[in-house]
Amino acid sequence: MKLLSRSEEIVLLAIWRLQGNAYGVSIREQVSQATGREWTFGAVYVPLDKLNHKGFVNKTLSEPTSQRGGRSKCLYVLTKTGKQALREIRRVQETLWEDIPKVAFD
Amino acid sequence: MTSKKSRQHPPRLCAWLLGQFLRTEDRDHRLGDFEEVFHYKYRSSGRYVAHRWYRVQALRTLPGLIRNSIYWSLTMFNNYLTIALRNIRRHKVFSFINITGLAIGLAMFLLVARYIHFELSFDRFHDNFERICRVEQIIDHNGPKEELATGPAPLSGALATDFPEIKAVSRVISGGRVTLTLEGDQRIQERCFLADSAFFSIFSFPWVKGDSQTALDAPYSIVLTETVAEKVFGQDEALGEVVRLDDGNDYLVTGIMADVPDNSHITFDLLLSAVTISAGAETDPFSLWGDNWVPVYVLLGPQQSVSSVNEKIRFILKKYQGEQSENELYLRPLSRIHLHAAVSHEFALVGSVKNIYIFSAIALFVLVIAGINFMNLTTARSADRAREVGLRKVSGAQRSSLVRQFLGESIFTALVAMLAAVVLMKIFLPEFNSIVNRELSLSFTQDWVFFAGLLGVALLVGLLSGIYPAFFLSSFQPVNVLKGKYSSGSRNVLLRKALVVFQLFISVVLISGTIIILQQVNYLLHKDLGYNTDQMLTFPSGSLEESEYRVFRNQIIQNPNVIRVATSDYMVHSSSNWTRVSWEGAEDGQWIKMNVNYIDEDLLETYGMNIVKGRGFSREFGADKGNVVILNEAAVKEIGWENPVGRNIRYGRDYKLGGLGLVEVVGVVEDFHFLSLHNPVTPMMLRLYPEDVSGWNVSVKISSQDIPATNAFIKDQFTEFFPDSVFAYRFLDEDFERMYQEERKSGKVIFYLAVLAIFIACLGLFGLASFATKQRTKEIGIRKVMGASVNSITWLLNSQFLKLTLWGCVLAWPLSYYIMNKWLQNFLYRVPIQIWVFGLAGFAAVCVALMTVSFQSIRAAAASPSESLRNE
Repeated sequence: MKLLSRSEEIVLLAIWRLQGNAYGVSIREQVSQATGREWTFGAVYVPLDKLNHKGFVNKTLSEPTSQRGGRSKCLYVLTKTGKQALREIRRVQETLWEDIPKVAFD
Repeated sequence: MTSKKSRQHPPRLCAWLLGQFLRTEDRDHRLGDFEEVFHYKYRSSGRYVAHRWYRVQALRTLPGLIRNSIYWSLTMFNNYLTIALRNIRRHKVFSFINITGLAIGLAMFLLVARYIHFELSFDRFHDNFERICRVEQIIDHNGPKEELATGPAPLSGALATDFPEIKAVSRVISGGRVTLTLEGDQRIQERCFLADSAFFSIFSFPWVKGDSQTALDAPYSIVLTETVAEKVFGQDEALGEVVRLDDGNDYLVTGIMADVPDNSHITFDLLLSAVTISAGAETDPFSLWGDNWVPVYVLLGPQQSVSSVNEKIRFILKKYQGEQSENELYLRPLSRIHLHAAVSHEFALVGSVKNIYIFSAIALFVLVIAGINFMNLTTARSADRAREVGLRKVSGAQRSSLVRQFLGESIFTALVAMLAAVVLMKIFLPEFNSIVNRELSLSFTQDWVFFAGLLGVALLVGLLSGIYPAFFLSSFQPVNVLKGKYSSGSRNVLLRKALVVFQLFISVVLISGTIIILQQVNYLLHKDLGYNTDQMLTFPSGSLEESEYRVFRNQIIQNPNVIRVATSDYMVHSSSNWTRVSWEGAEDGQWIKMNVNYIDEDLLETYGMNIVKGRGFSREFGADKGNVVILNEAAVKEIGWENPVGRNIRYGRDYKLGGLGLVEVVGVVEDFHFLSLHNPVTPMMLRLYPEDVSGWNVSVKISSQDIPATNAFIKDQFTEFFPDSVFAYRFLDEDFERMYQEERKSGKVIFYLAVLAIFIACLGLFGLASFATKQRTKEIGIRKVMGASVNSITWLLNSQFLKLTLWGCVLAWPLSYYIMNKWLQNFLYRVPIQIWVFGLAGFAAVCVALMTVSFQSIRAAAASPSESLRNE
């Protein structure tokens, strides 16, 4: 399986954390908070499209609301493979991290 | 209330811009995301902050979105490309026909385009192109007028002093070919012109070395082009050196210039100063206003218009030639010389604007035929692709994206064809060059504009021929096609038939046109001219004393293969000297214009010309020298003499001897064509050389046996007599071919284009036929089961194409008759249009079409019905 890119990983984690309330605005807030810098919508959409194309997330459209100028909301949910991908990248990172302290403190 | 609400909208421009880069499926909810935050900001921080936030966000988001949309369209493009390639590979024959037809059409179109571009580019490299003119003259021959490329001899001086509108004036006189002797006794012939220093202020031929302002001021000055300078002096400095020419004089090299570009109407390798002509003569040849032999070029001032200067110089000859002079001057702009000039004494490299029109029309037709093929085959194949369209639509493809896919496919095919066309062009360029007699080249680095144009044409052809199939294919209803209820529709069939008829129509026009042009060229080449042209070797003799010529003649006539030797001033087929002639019994001031040529006693016999009255010239009559003349029938007729022999005629200044002449008519020669067949036979007289003068050109009639050996023999003798000259011999019949080269050129080009047009049309027919038979496979199977014979089925399949072909013929005949009749009107002597030509053209089209179609239909008819009916 191809590894996730960093932005894909962050966006995917944000969607997981948001548990069913993940859509453009909330995802952007979540990742901006977590990384401590402001993300543009564009920066969120690009990884979102790729994740969707790779089948890691599913999209569902909600009813339009007046709050959004009469536009609908697109909610994202992780798929099974999406979760697998996250576990995979975590495993890779942990494996790599394991030996770092010894090396670094030498 | 409404105003408040509208202010709550995000900035429209930014929202619209964002929308452009969001995919349709995502556009709505993503704009919603923006709007949600916008409303939140609006409520918490006010309108100003919200608007600013929206703008900044939109701006910062755009780059990412643009990159994203490119990425996704590339992904889709990848898919289209895969499908396109897969289609090309799966339908090899179809694709081959498509690409080949288009490639050939493109290649021919481009070759012709290159030629036309070159022809139109003539002389445009001069900085002052718009302001350069040649001063031409309308000579009045008491009624008939003649346009001359040359003006009176002293004209240039008068123009320079009298007209402030004219910035610079130069005489530009053709010097023919001169011979230079190199080291090691090697001789080269170079094209030569004589001009004044102002030549370089008028024209912008690139200058290399020396002072261009004064280079041609002194007599015996010479300016060499770089190539000649290198031939003569190698790497050594040429400037200031001396060159000896075959006139025996030494010329001082006063300048070096770059080689003359191919697209210059004045073509030369070296320039001599025009004043050299005066320096060698006892009386200045540039002094007489009655001598019309000097071409003059002028540069007009920056603000002058050609027409206003034209008005000023029109009648100035009255001032110099006397009030009675009806001769007029006019300016011919540089842009009108190469393609439009049709005047006497023309020395320029002339093209033909008619050829340009004909070629471009035909090249366009060939391209259209190829484009039609493409359209036809693609729509014909629509059944194959109906399923794909259905499936794509079901999976959510929009019609616009299908249109884009099919257009993309046809453009892709056109681009592949373009690559093939470039290769074809490279291959055919030398052949094409020899047909059109030009040196066209093709280099990717220099002609990038041309290749950009080529790319444009390919894209355009791909787009135009792809538009119909694209809209046609994308209109399928998925429900129907997926159920297999597909039919090609009668509208579509009708269009395809119309296109096929159109292709055949053009083919038949081209075939019949080609036949008639070839007939006409053949007629021009083989028409009885009034003399014999076979095995006639001619060469210029240089300046030769009569006694020397006699020795030379006696030498070469020793050879048994040399039958006759004669000399004349002008060649018999291009005698271009005219004089005014009056006659015994004419009214006061009555005269006619007559062509005049000097010949010796042997010329009439050498060329086999017929004397119809009186006698020819003969050595037996000692008194014949100098004061006898032979007229042609046209002259006798125009004068109106019943019995011309023994009468006298009088003519103006003799071009050879000077002074006035009164000469006796001793005979009448049957009319012969002393100019090309573009000119009628007009009055002419043949003069006999006086005692100690001989001609400029030698004609040798040789036997047909062992021509190369005879040739070599004459060459040896020539070199012995004229060690400084080059033996520049020509066979007369070759000259005739050269004379009609513009016609031959159009004949050949049209012939090739016609062949290609037919070939491309056949490719299209082949494709259509194979498609049509495939569609009727089941029908054929059932017919066979019911007992139809192979013959009857073949006929059934062929007859529909035969009908189309006949339609094409019927439409083509009147049009080609009209066009060819119009073309033939250009010739004084022409072939009649024969009806069988059209029959033949139609027959050829029918044969080729039937052969092409039968290949498919016989195969289909011969197939076993069990094969075709098995899968249901």
